[in-house]
Amino acid sequence: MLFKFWFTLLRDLRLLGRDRSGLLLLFVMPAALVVVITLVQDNVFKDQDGTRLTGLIIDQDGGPVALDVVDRLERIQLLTLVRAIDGRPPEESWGRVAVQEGAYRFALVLPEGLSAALQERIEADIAHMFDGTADDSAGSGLSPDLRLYFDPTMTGGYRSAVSGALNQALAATQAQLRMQALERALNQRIAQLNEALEGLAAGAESPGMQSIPQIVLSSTPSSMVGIVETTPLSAARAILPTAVQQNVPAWALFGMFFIAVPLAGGLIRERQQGIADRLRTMPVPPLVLLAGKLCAYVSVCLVQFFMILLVGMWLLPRLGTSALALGNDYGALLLVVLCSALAATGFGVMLGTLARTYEQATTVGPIAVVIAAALGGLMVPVFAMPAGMQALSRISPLAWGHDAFMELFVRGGDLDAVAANLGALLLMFAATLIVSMIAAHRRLNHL
Amino acid sequence: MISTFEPLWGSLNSHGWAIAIVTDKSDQRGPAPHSAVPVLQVSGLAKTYVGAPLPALDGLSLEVHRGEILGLLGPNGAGKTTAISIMNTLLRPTAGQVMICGIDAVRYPNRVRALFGSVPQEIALFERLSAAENLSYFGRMHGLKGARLKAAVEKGLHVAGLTARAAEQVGTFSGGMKRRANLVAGILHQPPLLFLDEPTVGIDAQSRNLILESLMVLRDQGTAMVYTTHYMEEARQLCSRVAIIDHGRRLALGSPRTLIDQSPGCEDLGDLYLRLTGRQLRD
Repeated sequence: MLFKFWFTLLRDLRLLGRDRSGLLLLFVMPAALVVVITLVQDNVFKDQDGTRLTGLIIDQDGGPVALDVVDRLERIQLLTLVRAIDGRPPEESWGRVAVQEGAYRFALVLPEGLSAALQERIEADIAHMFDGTADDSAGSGLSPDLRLYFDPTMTGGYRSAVSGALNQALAATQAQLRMQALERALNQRIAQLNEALEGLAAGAESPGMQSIPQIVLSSTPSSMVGIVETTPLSAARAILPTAVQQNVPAWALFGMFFIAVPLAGGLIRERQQGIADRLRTMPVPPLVLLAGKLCAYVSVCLVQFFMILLVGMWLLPRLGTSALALGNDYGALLLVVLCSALAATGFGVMLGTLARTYEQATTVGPIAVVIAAALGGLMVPVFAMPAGMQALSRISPLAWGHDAFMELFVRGGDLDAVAANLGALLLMFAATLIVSMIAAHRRLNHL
Repeated sequence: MISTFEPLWGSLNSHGWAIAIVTDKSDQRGPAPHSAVPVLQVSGLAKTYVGAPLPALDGLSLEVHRGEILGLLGPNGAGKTTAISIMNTLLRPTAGQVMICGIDAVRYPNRVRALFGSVPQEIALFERLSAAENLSYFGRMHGLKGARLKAAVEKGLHVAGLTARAAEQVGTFSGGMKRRANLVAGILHQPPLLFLDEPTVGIDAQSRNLILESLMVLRDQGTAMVYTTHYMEEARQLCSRVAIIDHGRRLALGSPRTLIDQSPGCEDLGDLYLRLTGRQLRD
């Protein structure tokens, strides 16, 4: 029986090798997806030297507050600010249209009188503080609001980043103004006290009295407490979740599950052309034929996966991305690839058994894989999905596989950490084969 | 014309199917074959598909002996394909018995599969494999190896007239070439019994002639065959006996000449066939 198994395996490899469209689907498509999507998403994952949002500054104020806010915004690497168009400050109406049309990602309008109003408000606050009176101007003396226009296509994350940067700049400017006003007020009081003290000293003829020194309340230019971002792992094991780390295993897995299409197509062709029936009349157990076919397709999956790993480790770095890091447990990695390949081929067998026509399989198969990929977090991370979709993602075999790869590649996990995912993938393999056998039995017996 | 062909399967001439059976270890558990036993014996075969109001087969009985070609004739839906599917172990009957070389094919399907060849109506070949690769693969699935496999493939290609095109993919072949390769794939292992389901449908006259001559050579060498066809002239020319069936029942059984002689007013097999099965269309 072993040689019948072996020659069935060789037969399927030979058939696949001569199927140009199948080879394109299995090797070129996932490799192209990995390269394109990784390059497209590379900046999203990068902390620096990455995406820059270009925004328009419409300074109607021209005062120190506006200058200070803009100066602080310009120090933020995410932002590129344009203050003038053709050497002239832009109009708000023009800027609004430019942002709407997508020429700029946002426009910030610093309204006329902003500096004067803010300074007046702060001076008043300080004066009330020293007078010990209530601030009855609250509500009536508010500064004019800044207006922020966003490109309608700009996603929530980027909007939050720009709004946050602006709030931070405004807070720092206001704090600085407040300190300067407080300093002036305090020194004015100190000067008055010193005059009073000098008068007292002259009257008492006691030369020993000293005047109170002036106070300097300089605002701290940077935060006194810093933030250090780090990973829960030791530095040696820390791997950043880059576009490469996310996309290479994701699209390799996607490509592996696409093997279901040629596999199902082959099974349907064999059934429709009478080859399956011819083989069933031969002295070879159906399980030997199935095992030979599965081994052929699983081995193609393995080659396909490791080819895409090479893309991640060798090609992508030459295109400017970071290189793929494989984690530390290569044995666990091999098991995850093997179990994913088994689940993918099991799905292909089930698809080929349940589908009545080649067209059904080639339509349903890719759609099912794309849906499973979307649910599995290959396109958008699972944590970014709504709660309902996050719950649904748990039933996607691509989620089990992808989660296992991320566990090994990014979290530095080992075999124990991915054991549940491996179990789920193997369970899927067994379940798809059982469903296929029941369906084939029913079809053969015209049930 | 037959004399222009060299014998197809020389070893079959000298050994016959009985020896082939006793050399197969898997068959030693089954009943011992006997030369007087028909190669194929079908008795009371019945099959009713789930949900079908009428049986597809209703008590069909047949015998096919060594060196005999039995034509199985009948309109569409008569039960020919169901009968062949049960005889070649693809389907289990609702009732009845199928004995192949003395072995119960319903109880021991795995034991009898080495004893027959099957040539389906469809071109059951891998289109992306060459003719030689197809034959090698199916030969291996029949248990042929090494020099025996190589010789069988070479001989099969020669018989099919495909030696010069052996390395070309079957998908590039004409209909006739595919039919010839399809036939050879079913007889590579020199089985004592052969099931042929309309093996000449839709091909050119030359290819049909070649196939029929090849089958006659096999018959002369002792191979028993069950042959379905809609071509009455082909059945008359090739078959030792014919069984006309309809609605799952056997309506007539005998040599074409005897059946025609026994039916006054029938000039040929076609007349007899239409008289027995009616002239209404069967779609």
